[in-house]
Amino acid sequence: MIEIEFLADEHGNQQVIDLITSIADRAMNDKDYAELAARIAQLLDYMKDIGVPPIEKRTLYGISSAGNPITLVNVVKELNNHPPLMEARANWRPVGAFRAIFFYEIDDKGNQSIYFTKAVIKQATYSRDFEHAISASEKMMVEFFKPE
Amino acid sequence: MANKNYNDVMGILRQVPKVNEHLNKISVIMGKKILKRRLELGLTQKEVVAMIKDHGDTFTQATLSKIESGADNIKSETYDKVFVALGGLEDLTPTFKGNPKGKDLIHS
Repeated sequence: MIEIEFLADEHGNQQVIDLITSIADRAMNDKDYAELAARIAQLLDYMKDIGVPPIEKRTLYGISSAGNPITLVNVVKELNNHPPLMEARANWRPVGAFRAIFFYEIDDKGNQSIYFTKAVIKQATYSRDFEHAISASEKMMVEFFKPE
Repeated sequence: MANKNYNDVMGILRQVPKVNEHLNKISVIMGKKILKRRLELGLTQKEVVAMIKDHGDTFTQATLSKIESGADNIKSETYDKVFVALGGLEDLTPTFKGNPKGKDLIHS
């Protein structure tokens, strides 16, 4: 069983949902945003059904039909230097790269609980907004695990 | 105000034109089912590709990755190779929604 939650920040805002809502609003009259919305919907649908596959079952590199090595993009990926945070990914070049930061728990029966914290649309590999989102996500995660 | 949940988010997204159609595309449905089956069997993409090649077929990891991501333009024979490697299909039955013309269906 996979459970997905969208955590609220210290102001009570579920920023991941707020961003998705704004994308959906704009998608009503913008074909590129509609394409990104479809890819985000597919991403969440996959995650709800499949969860976070173990890293060895995800594949980062492959060989093209022409025999060339290629990098295969995964829908979920560890955030280097920020474990255990991960990112869920949906790309549509005309709009940008949607990145939703999350962490997850798994019990001894394999049930996963996925907690989304922050999301951004990146326009470049380095994004100051994304770095801020990571910092905020780390704080939210610490708060989440803080004993009551 | 109560926090929104997964169903609320999907409801918001499904209101966008073409999102429902996208989620119901054969390629998207098949991609998810194949990825899920591979993970249930504990196989890597590389292992599935090797199994297909053992049958004497040509196949690449890039193709399997495209299939699992729900990419379009995958031939039915390509799906068939993956199905066989993952144990074979027991059933594949599309279930239609309502009649697009709004008429009662004719039953013989």
